[in-house]
Amino acid sequence: MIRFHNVGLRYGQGPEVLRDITFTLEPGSFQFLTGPSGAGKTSLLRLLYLAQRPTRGSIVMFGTELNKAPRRAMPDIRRRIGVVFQDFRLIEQLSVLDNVALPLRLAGQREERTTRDVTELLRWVGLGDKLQARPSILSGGEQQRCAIARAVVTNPALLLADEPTGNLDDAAAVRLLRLFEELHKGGAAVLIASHNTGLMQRFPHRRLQLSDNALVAAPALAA
Amino acid sequence: MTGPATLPRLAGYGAALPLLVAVMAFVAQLALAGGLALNTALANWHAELAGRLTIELPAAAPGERLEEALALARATPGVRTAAALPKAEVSKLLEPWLGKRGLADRLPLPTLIDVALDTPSAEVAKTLATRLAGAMPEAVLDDHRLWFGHWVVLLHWLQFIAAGVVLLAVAAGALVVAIATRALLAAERGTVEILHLLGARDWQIARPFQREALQRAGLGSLAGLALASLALLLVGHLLARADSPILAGRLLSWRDCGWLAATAAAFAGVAMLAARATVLGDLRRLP
Repeated sequence: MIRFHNVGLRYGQGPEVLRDITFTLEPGSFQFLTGPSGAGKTSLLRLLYLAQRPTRGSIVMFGTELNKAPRRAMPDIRRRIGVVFQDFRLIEQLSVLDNVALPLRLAGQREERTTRDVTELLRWVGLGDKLQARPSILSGGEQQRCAIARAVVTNPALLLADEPTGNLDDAAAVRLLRLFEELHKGGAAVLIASHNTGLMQRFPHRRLQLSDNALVAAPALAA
Repeated sequence: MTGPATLPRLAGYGAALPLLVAVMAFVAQLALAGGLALNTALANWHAELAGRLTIELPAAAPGERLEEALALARATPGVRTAAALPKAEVSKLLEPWLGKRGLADRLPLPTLIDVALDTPSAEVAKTLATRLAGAMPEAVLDDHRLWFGHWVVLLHWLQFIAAGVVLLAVAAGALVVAIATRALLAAERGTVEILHLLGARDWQIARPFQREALQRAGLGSLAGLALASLALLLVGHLLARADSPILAGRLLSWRDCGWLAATAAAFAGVAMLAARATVLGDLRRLP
């Protein structure tokens, strides 16, 4: 489904922040992306959600080779990817319902169905009583659930999350991972950037390990 | 794109944009009105003078020369009428220069014969001039073309300049909208980027900017139109008081007023297109 081959990335004239990245994400897989701060996790995620084009190498996503695809083809690919940003990136001028409905409306889904689907999803993530609330009045956890709902509302083929447990206590982090596993059951490939090794021990999925801006063999987790 | 709740409302262009557009629309509409009025004046003038000639006999010419000139003119094929202008009318024509104190009556004024042709024709004027030159060389035939031609050139240049002012004002309006859109894009950077990452197409992101520009510039251009209309009413009133034969009557037809309204709409449309082009150009930097 997604194939990176010898991908490199640099910002402007700076040094490479990703080097020779080669890996494959299979449909329906669940993986962690891990590594120390500054190893390039966020940059790799940016390549995956098409916020960045690689400076070298090739990326194939859903059968499309990005290097050869015209810019106008990108929105369709982006609509198959759900992203939970580290800072959630909710739009303050929109209500919770409108934030979550945004990807569906951009895709042109009929309004009645959109409202019904979004309301149902928000109830499922525990925000059924906050449909018309603005993001700023939500707690951090609620904002995160709103961001997750927005990421999954289109039933994406790929779900990405950037340090989703970074600001959570252990119990909340476990609950969140269980939520991702539930979403994964829907068929989406899930890639979660995290450096929470304790969590990875409890959820023993495959790991992509970044070190010094390159992928390395993932070390065994301490018992 | 679906309903109005799809995208967040933008922070907005603020009050400066409608104000600036109003000023430019006002300037453009005055220039356009000037150009259109000149067109009408030129047409009026042409209607007044086309197909008319004036024979001028020196003041010292004996009375029978007037009859001879009239007979000669009336006998020329293509001449419909020929009549001497009464002295009172000649005096009235000179009033603007000589005043109303009867000075014109005391001066040796030439005798003028107003000749009307069946249809405007340079050929008839030439024949009459040849005949006059043969029969009475002291008579002068004025077909108005020389001085009228100078005025036509001047008026056409004025219209050209007015059209240039309209275009410049519209271009300046578009530039103002483009600059304001850049500022608004910078203010909405976060929202634009998230929309882009959620799979919005460029035109979907551009749409709220277009709508905002259309509304704001539309408001400004309507204000400009209202101001220009007031100014034109004032000018019309002053022209009516001037009682000029050249500038008599309505100088702006309803169709001309339609053009002015269309200019206001064009300002709003150009603003919308400028906003769209600016946003689409800016989005091209995103992958």
